[in-house]
Amino acid sequence: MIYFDNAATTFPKPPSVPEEVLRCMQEYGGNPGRSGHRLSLRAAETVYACRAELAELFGCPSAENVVFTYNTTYALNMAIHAMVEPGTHVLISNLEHNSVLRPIDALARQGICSYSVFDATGSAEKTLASLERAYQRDTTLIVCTHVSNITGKVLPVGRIGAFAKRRGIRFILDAAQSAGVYPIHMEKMRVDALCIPGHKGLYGPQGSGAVLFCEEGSYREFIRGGNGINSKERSMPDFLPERYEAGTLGTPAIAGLLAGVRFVRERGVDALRAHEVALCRRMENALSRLRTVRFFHEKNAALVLFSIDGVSSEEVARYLDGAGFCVRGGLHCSPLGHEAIGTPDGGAVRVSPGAFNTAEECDLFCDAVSAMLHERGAER
Amino acid sequence: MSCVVPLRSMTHCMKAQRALEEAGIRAEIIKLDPGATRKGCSYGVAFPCPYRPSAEQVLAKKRISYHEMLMM
Repeated sequence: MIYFDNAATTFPKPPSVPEEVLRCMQEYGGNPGRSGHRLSLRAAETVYACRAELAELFGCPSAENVVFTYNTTYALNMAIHAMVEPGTHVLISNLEHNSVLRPIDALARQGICSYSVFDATGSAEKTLASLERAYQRDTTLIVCTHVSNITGKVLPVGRIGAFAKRRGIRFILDAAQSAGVYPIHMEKMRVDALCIPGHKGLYGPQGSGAVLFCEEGSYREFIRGGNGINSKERSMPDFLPERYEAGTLGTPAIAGLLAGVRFVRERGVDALRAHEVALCRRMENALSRLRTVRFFHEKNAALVLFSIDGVSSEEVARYLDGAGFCVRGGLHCSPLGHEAIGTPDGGAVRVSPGAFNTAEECDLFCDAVSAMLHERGAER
Repeated sequence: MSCVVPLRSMTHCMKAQRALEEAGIRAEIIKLDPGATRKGCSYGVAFPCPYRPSAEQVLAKKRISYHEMLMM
């Protein structure tokens, strides 16, 4: 099988990642921050090392501000719940994944906040203008994606952060598609909470993710339970990261994530992105020769989003699966985005290469799409 | 005899241990008796007492706050 679904989760991982997961489980798998024995301390060292690497990679002021979660969705739910101010207004873009839309919409339906959607499909200037029009005097939070998971569009988040900062608005950034692929510096971008997956562009295992907070603020609690400290206290600590980490951490996943982050830092974020973008342009050039293929992704995106006239995206994905290629059809959990860009009712096919894909694999993929269309008599 | 600084959490102990070790002060994280602080279970960083002045400087520089220093 040739895997082109790295936007969903990266595969394969660098060998060091499963090696470190196994090493943790076989050599030192104690519970970090619970006991005083050497296996617990060794596990805690790995956890801290991963916090420190993530803080450095993303321009987060300190390692203690890194809170581990299980994926971006959990991170976004945590950050949104922690930062939303009851009775106020929230802004999201029209390219948001359900991991942003659903929690915000639920809060609105519960009467906790209201929200508006700004248009992020145009230029940076048009996006900022739409944001400005959607802004209200009671807006206290902006939540948006850095890179769209369907178009690959990069939002002008530095300018959005500056806009938020000038108005005293908190800014949560969904970096599901950008962590490890595009440069991110929280302090420079004025991001208050950065939500990342460990298992996509950072090449860590599924079950890893994090929220990075820019400051240690008095944010609302999200989860309550034991964390190995202050056991006599009934409430969660008022400091990071333990305020948001209750229960046993996924230490093997964090060990794997640490290896993944080191792989990304060694290869270089820009180099990894350049590789993916080059492969996408190669596929785009080949597929553009097919009459019935329509594209919906951004120019220079690190993914390809296409549809085929008269064939549903899931049918295309099924055919390609049978031919040995892993891609994703449908709406990619981004109904707002698909509506905004005008894909067919059944969505489109997303092809997302990763660090280990090759030009030859791209050529084989395009040959398979062409073969499918010729079989159907759609191309002559 | 070691000097022990009880800190907020394991995470903060890790930060302190790294800072002290980088300054050439051997530091060990230990779990403290629940009675050591009024809040229950906690962790501290232990280092040789002769290094106390240097350790205090290192911790201050890294903005690692603590309420007391124990002798163990």
